[in-house]
Amino acid sequence: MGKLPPLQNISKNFTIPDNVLIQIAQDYGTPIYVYDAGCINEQWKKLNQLIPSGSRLFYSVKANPNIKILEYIQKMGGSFEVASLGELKAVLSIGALPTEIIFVGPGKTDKALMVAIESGIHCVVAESAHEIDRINILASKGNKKVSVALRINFNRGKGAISMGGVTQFGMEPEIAIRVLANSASYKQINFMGLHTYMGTGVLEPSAILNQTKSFLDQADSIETKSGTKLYFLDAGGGWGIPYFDSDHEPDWEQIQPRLESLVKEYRNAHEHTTEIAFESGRFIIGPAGVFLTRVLDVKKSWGKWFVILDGGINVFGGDDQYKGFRSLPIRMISRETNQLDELTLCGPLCTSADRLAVDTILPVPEVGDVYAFYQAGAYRYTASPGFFLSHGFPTEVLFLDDASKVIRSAITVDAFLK
Amino acid sequence: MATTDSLMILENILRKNFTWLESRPIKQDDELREDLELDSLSMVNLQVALEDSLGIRFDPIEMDIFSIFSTVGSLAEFIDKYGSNPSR
Repeated sequence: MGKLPPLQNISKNFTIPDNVLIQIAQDYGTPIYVYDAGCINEQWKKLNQLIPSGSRLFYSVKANPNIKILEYIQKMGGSFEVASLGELKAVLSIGALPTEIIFVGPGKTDKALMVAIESGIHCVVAESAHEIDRINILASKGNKKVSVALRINFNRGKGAISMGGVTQFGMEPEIAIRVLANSASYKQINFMGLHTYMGTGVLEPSAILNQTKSFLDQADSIETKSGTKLYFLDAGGGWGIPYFDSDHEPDWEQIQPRLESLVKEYRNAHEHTTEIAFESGRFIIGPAGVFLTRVLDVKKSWGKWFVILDGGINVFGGDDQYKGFRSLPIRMISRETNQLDELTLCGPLCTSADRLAVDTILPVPEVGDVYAFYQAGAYRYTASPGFFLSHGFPTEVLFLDDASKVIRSAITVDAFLK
Repeated sequence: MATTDSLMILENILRKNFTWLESRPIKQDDELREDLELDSLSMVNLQVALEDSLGIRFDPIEMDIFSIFSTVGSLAEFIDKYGSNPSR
């Protein structure tokens, strides 16, 4: 039995009209990503109201690292959490201040660490005792001082994709305590605090509240046991957005007062903790993006409708565990029709896994019609296996002040041949 | 050993979602891939059907999905454990 696409999951902050989307698809071709700058702005403001006052919000660049989007977020006052040399260079290239950058990730290369150290970024978030040794040695070569926070793994993951629990991320609290108690032996390092990231795609407000409380409790314990003052605490984030028919937009406001008082109490008891931070990528950029793809073929096979699109999993992210069996917010935007049926929307790849919607109730299209996939701004373009089948990567467009502008040209097949 | 209740729930879901299982006998030691011929997409289809029917979520990071979706019996045991007590 088919499922209706959950159009209620389309963000109210996404306001680009259909006729503009159609024009963009015609002008620049499909498949294509379009981002609504106004929506980014609204999501940014919303999240800043949800986190405790006086907290700092880092944009997780991995969600969408397009340079023009980074510039836009910088103008709104954003700081950046990067997780690779590429992301670090991206934010440095837009003139982000070193004090606006933190560098996380379980596998940092010496080259990336050297750029971070030379640039004097706000802090490198170390994920193991071995990495701390490496940072110390690298910093000593240039006789540099480097600020380091320790990523703690509390084994309390809770999210669609768990980052806590028994994973490769961070270090156990006991290791952090040993390192901090021995901080004087790391001559080049200024230990400034702790970091954690327990989960992503969280849709339960209480989970954010509980993980923040756990983190602050652990920070207090680590500070006491190690005898080291912690100035910077990054509690991570994980604010999710609804995608599938089974998801619901959470009432984030319900936890705001308790989150506020939790952080206030901590600050009152730890006046030296000058900075409490949170991170988000998906919540800020996810609802602002739409993916447009055009119908290449329509056929009925053994009683089922199959629609072949010019963009599939090769350009729409490769990490959807449901493989189209849960319906996404999808609309046909090219024309009105009352002829609905259960459709399976497939990409152009030669694999049966290339399905973006299975048995979903949608308007039956003709060749050339355009579908819009909403909530597509985060972890879609950059999480795509775009070299698979050599179709290339799509154009990205930013819609700002009623005008659309290409912010990344398509990476064409010709570019693959060079 | 899975309970009769969870085996019946699972059998109904299997027969409803996969036409080739409509009238085939389904045994507790049947392997989902080899014996019931569920390919990788069918497995995802089954996962979603179970999630919707039982109000649970499978977490591919925290759970050993491959072992859970091994045999009819292993999956029914999972339903016994979590089916009436959603993990979140």
